[in-house]
Amino acid sequence: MSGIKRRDFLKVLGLTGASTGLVGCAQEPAKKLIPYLVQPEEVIPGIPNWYASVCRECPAGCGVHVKVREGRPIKVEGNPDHPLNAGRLCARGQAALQGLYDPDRISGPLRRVEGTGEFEPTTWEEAEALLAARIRGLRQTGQAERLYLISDGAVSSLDALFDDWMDAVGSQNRVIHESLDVEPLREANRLTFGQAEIPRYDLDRAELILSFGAGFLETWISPVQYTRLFARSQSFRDGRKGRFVHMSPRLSLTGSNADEWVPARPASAMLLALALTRVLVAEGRAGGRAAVLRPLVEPFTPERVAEATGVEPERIERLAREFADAPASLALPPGVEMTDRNATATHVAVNLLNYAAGNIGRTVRFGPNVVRRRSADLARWTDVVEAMRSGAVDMLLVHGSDPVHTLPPNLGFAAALEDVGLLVSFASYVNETAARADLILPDHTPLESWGDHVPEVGVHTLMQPTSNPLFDSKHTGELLFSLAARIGGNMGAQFLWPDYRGYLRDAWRPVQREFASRESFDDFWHAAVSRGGVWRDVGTQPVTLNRAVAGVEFDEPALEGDAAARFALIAYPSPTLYDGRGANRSWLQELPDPVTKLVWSCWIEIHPEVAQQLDVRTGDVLAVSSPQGRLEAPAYVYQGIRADCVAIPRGQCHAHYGRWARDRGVNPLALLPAAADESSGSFAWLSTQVALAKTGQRVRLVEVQGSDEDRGREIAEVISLTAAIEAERHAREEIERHPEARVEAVEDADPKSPYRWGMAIDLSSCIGCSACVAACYAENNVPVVGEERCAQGREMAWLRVERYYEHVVVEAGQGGVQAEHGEWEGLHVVHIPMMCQHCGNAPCEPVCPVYATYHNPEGLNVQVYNRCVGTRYCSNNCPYKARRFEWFDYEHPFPLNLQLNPDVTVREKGVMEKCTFCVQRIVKARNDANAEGRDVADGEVTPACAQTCPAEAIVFGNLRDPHSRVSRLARSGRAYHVLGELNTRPAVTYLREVARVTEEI
Amino acid sequence: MRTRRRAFTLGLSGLAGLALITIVFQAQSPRTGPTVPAVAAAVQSAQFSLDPDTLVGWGRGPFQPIFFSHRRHAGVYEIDCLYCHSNSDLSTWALVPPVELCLGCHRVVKAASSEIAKLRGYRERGEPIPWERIYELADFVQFNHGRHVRAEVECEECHGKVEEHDVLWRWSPLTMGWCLECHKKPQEDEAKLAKAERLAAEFGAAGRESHGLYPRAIDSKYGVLNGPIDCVTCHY
Repeated sequence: MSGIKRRDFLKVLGLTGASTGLVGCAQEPAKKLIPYLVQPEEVIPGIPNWYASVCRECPAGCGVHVKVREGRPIKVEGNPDHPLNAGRLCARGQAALQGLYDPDRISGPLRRVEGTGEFEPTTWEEAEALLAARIRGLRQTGQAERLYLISDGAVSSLDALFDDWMDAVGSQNRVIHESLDVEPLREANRLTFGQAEIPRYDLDRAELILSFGAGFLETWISPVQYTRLFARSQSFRDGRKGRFVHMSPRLSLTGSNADEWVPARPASAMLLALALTRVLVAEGRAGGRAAVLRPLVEPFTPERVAEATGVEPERIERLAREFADAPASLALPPGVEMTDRNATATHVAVNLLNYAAGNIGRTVRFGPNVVRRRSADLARWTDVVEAMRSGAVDMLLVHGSDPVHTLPPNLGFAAALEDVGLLVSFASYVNETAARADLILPDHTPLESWGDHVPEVGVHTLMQPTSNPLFDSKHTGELLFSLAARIGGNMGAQFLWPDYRGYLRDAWRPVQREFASRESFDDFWHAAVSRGGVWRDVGTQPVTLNRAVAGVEFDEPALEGDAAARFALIAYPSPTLYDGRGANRSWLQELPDPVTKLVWSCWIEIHPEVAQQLDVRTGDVLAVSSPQGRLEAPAYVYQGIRADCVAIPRGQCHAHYGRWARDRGVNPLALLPAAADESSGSFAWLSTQVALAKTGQRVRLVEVQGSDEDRGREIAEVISLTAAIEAERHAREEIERHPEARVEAVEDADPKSPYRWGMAIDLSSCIGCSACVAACYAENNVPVVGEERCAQGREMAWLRVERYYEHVVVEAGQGGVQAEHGEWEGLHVVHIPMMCQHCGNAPCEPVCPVYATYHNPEGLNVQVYNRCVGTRYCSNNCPYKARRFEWFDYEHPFPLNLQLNPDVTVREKGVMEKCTFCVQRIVKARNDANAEGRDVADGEVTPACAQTCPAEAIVFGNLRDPHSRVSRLARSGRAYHVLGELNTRPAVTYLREVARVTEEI
Repeated sequence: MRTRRRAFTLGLSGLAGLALITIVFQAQSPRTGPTVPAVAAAVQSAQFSLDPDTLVGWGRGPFQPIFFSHRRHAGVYEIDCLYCHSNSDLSTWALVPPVELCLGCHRVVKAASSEIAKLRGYRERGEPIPWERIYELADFVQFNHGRHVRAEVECEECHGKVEEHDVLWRWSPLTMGWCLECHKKPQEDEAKLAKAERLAAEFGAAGRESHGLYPRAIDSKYGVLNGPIDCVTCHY
């Protein structure tokens, strides 16, 4: 054979093959380009659409705008027009997206496999047929009463539908369950003023806020609204600052913002309020109202209650005078966690205090009331459980709540479920109740649903779907229509709506008549949907003191427990997980608890003295026992709790629910008896004393903050009001002299650039709620790393809120007051958001060997991911610990990946990252401005953190513009730079926290 | 032995393939050489009797699920780019027309063609057309298409003369160096400079000497440029 040898031929073939392959790779596109079949009219791919809706993460019902890119909701922001939250949102609201994209969502109807704990998929057809047949059976035998429905307390068209539907079925057994109910408040208002309502609290008008413990900045009633209003009166503005006194055994997140903490004994709020009222009456500060009040409060002298409350008579007298002398004052009741056996009387006492000071109608206004259905009381629950046990409940439908997790276990609800014929859950996730169900018929999540909500009198809000249903779920309203048709009889003709939207439109016709009777309904409807609802101002309704109040018995509530049990148990709702519904949102689990800075865990707060007695440190496992139960959890030594109390957060302790919630922490409710407040019947959370014992075990508690004090480094600074006024006066004079003067940081940008981006954070506004952190996770594709990695210090949060304890002292004679660390007396907590400071003279920049981080012409400290090789020198050189390294490729399990913001790179392993000042928003604003041939205006760029901040503490803008808000704030007398002495020239200016200490009243 | 024989047979068929490629692309001088899908394209093309010799770009770009000619649409019939790629001047992305838009004309125009039948097929099945993607940027590049269109960058500066091509291929290298080549050029367009100067004069009183020049011209070091050369322009 001549020519090519076989061996040579193979060589050539190999070569050509390889080269063809290579060329093919270079030229072959990697992906497909998929167009729409029919492009929806309102969608332009690449440009987000915004839809107005309602946040349903808690009963407050804030308005939201949902940012949707190509059909996927990617960000939730507050609706700026909404009367409650005015564009702001809390961390839980931000995490609503993770409810939609929960990887543990139920993907379709499920049926229990007989006799096992397993579920198998079923079809809607089959499930509905089964359900309808059962209900028809009940109706035919006249046993419709044996159908029960548990749902949440929101007032909405769905709630009305539940009523109508249950009526049509023939059952009266609706049970409303709101786990953080405020029924004692409602009952107290009925007794005091004849109004069984929850009034509007005007925190913005109150110069002095006296709180008996309500967590109004975290979970109580309407936290975002309250935070917004609170910041108006309690942050330092125009030389003024209100005063907030927190009188409660535990320093909660809310309490940590107080100017003065009065660590009163647990369950002593009633006596304290009565004694304060008595001082007002006795000293003639209650005006004409004294006469009615005198007989009620006469016995409660400060001296008499001093022992029971743990507050000295002088202090009570001082506070009472302060309360009466303030131009406007407001007393807030104890919160849900402080509901004791005499909670209604306590609320009455607080009402009397407000009444005595003349606050009713001024800062406590009836009229624009909070609207919420009355939650079932403990007696009702006992009846229901009894009925379940006796087999009188053939069918139990559960919608919108997780009673197995949120009811006290000692009520026996979970065990009684065994005797229920058919348990049907409409949950979107296999929560504790759904896990015991026979049938799970998943509802859409709120972001996929039509719906509405009435959070307040005169406020009607609308929800619209922002996404197609991700899974095979069905709107519960539509399910009820379909069931009605299947059941037939009178029901067949009653619920003829084809879909929920149709029903909702009909349900809104009365609203149209109220708000816009002249418009056509369609015009009204479209306007309402796009705006998020309709609302109007509701006038204050005058109220008078009810005679019935004379009958209220002010008995001192005793706490249960034997002699060994020395500690009152405070089981408080977690500021991040609420009652537990947030437990499977990885952002919320990784979001440090605002008070303890612990992540992914559950703990027992004990006072340092107790820790010393028991010889335990933070992380040592303690056994807590009450007559009702015993549980073990790690101790957290906390200065902000009385020595005769322990506190355990609620929210963890799920056996199901999802990968992030499962098998984590304990449920403090297990220690509580099924006891109730006597008048309102509401569950008594604060009813028991517990015993503590050291177990000898130790676990790792993951705390993301290394130190509780800034150790003299002046990271978090506090000044007194006097000093602040002085400093502000100087600054104002300076600004008047040189109105065009700019701050130093202005120089740190290209001289030709019109911009030097900067930020100002007012610590006197910041309450530490950490909504900004959650917003940052959502906006910037920040990965969640899990407990293990957090423990290694590898959390990825670009923005964190640090919490320091400061000691405020007044330096006599100088008029100046300065912060000093010292004894625990006069504890002052400072929350300080910390992120990349975008230094003009950034220590991270010169150490990067590949120029992956540099200063851009607009003054931003930029991180170029594709250039970064991961030496981590920059991070080592950053004094603010603002840089985060991607140690791994972190997962976004389906469908969580759909939430990722397409405008921000998803970083991968080996890359350094950090806060960018939301540069994608800057770029967008600059593009918009350029298209119009102008500069970016002040306020046009708002980073995610500033956008959501309920206290409006963060201001972002252009420092080159001397008239921008941020420039003015940067020249404030309270301005300082964290670690400014390192000559880093940060772009972030902090405004000192202002404490209005006792001496400055 | 048997494996050797098999290898030999494989080799032979490979050679045959190579020969086919050479034959098909003889007439052209491909920029980067033939591609594997091009073979399939060539084979397929026979089915709808298109003569590769007369098709510009044949073999350079991938075979698309529907044979769509930009030369026909943009060249012969002079349809504006933005008619089909609507909103490409607004969106961060250049957009591919929805199937319904194609059918807007093609329900009538050339309705009998076998390619249009395919188009109708996709529409009827409710299936989007899986176009082969030609221009793609890395995930860490945030490229704003609309910004470039609005800045009056001509389509052909990046996409070539699509109106002369039947089959599209990636005309530009899409490397960072290539992007910067344009961005780094000093701004020469008289009209644009004049506009910038005018705006600067108008706003100059407010103490912003560079107003309006931004960001078409930013850099105090480099002077007035075509586009920003700051990394964060595209990488964030």
